[in-house]
Amino acid sequence: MKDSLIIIAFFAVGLFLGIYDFLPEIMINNSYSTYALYLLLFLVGISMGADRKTWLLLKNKGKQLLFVPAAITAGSLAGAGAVSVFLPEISLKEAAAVGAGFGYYSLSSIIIAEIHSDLLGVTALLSNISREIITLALTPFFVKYFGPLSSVASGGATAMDTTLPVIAKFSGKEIAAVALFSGFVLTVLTPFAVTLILNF
Amino acid sequence: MINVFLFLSAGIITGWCLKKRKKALFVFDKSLTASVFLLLFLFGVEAGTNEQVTGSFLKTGFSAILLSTGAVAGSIILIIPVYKLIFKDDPKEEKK
Repeated sequence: MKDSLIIIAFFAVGLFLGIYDFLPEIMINNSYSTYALYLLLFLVGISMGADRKTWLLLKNKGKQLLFVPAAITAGSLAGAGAVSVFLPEISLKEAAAVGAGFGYYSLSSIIIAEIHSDLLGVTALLSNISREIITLALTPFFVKYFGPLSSVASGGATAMDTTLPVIAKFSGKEIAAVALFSGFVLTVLTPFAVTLILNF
Repeated sequence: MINVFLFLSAGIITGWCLKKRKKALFVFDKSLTASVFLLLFLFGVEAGTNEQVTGSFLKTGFSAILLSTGAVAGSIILIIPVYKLIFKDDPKEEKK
């Protein structure tokens, strides 16, 4: 949670400086962010590739458990897509791309802002932050009415880190292992899915 | 788009090869955190200077919450049959 707050603070400070025009022109009109994104993607890849334990879990128990992230992927895209009916300024494709963030707001919003538009990037940031908050706040309710796996579904990619403690508490240890697995698969999937959807 | 996949895949392969080099991974992990901070700061600056964004904060916030509600609802609806499939019908997933 502390990390999430620091990340949001960095965005907020940037936003404030941008709005009130405190920065020299060179910082605003540049293409550094594209290169920085590539660096970020490379580093994200390293952290994924080095996560040996989870890859092994995927190899050993993957087949049946893959239904979990698969259902969450389909549900997130379809659910966000369906909501776009009520949002005239957001197309089905854009809504699905925001849904494909699976709660991984930092990376999904940065990619969307870079390859699509700042506005949709901000939407993705706020939407995926709220997905994390919804999970943290409503997990007890979800588990009670929709079963133990609903917390994993709601958490999406965050089920492997920020929302894992609350999932473990209310859904139990056995589900926590599934959460770790599903969250990991969705974390790996996020950058690919977002990019593919927006280029579709 | 190709670049996104290229850099990610290169990272995953590098990470896989480095999995035992704890020190190198630690450095990469710290750089990852730093670059997330930097990119979100830059993203904030870009968004702050974009009138399309600053002119519609409330509306964007509303759309964002609606989209995440839709995504969460969709995921939960589809996870219910999966739960039944994995944990109820099967004797238990412990064959290994």
